[in-house]
Amino acid sequence: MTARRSVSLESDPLSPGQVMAHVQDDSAGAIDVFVGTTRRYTEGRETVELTYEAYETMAVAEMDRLADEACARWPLTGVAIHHRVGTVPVGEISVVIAVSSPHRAAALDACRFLIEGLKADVPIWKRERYADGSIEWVRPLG
Amino acid sequence: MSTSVTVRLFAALRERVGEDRVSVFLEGDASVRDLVEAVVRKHPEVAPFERYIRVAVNSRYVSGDSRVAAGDEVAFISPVSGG
Repeated sequence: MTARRSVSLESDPLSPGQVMAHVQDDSAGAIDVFVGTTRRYTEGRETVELTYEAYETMAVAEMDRLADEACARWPLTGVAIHHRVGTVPVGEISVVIAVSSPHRAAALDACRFLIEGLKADVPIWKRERYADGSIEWVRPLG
Repeated sequence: MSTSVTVRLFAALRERVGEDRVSVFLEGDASVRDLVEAVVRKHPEVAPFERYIRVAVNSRYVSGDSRVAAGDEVAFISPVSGG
């Protein structure tokens, strides 16, 4: 079974419906969609805007590698991972992951695997601009 | 024989160094660990990141024992924060 695949970095706003459409398949009985959004408050500090920087060629390669690994571990019919880059206002979508499979357990588990893998390994960095005017990269030393 | 290796930098590490790439000369059959040490010697401001950096060669994470060859695209990946 060759799963449908769509991996990309986007500078325009992300649409969960459009990402989901990449994994729709007649042999799927379930689609799980994860949507990550930019949060206003972190540990009491107010964020007004975030900027995502990617090492683009490797980010796409790592997202493809994660998709390969998910397809090897679960019987999937589609995998889509779209991540926003550039400046993103608070409340907007930063990442959408959609996974389809014949049955729901695989879609749910694979989706969780993909977002955790993305956060651990895909070379994308987030910089926050706070309401007090300061600008900082998020946890630059881990 | 010495080889010039260029390392790409991103995000906090790029801002810390003030350049999006740095170059160092490595002697002979140098490992990724030797490369990191050489960059820290030339750019001491990288030192706080040293224990957190992962090295990518041609868009793949590699171990410290890996070798770096001329023409490889090398990058230092500081802790990532996407999602």
